[in-house]
Amino acid sequence: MEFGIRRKPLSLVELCVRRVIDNLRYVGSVDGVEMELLKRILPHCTQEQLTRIESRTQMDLSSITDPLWKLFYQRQFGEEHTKDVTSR
Amino acid sequence: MVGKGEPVAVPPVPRDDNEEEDDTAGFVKLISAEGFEFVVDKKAAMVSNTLRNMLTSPGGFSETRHGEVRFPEITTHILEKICQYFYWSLHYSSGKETTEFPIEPEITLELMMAANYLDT
Repeated sequence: MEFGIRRKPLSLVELCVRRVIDNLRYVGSVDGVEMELLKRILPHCTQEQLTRIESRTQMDLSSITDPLWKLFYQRQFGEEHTKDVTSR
Repeated sequence: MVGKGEPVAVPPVPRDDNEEEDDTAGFVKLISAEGFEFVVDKKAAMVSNTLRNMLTSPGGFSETRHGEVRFPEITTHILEKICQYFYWSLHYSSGKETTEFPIEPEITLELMMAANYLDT
């Protein structure tokens, strides 16, 4: 038995963020969600998930998604090629 | 004159175990967008930092002086879930609750936005 030890529950925001990340395959529009939260959630998306979310969301997500797309590009076409393209 | 010398029973003054708890005694009414009212322990409501600030700030917000807070942007089913979280959180902290807090996938985004607003 643990006496006098107060366990700290996770905040509801934290629980929800984790839940959303676990269920990204079902997420469409994220309109109305604070950018701070999306910054934590969207990096967990696959290309397919990110494409769907961006196409169904009215809000401009590019400040978060641009670096993510760059990463996908790098992974697919390699570092050198990415440098080549971005320097043009 | 009181009786014939028998000790006078002094009713115990109702008093909280802990004086600091005074602030958390009683109930508060949380009202959803549709006007549905949830009456919760103040202690539970204070799991939310936003509500804690409202309920404890000196002078107080006008809503909380009447012991009620309206949430025109939070729907009933989300507010209900939030109230359930308040109690889950208290029980979890005290060790009485060991199961996970259940969140239905279809309400997660809406719940997350409300939870973020309530800083809980």
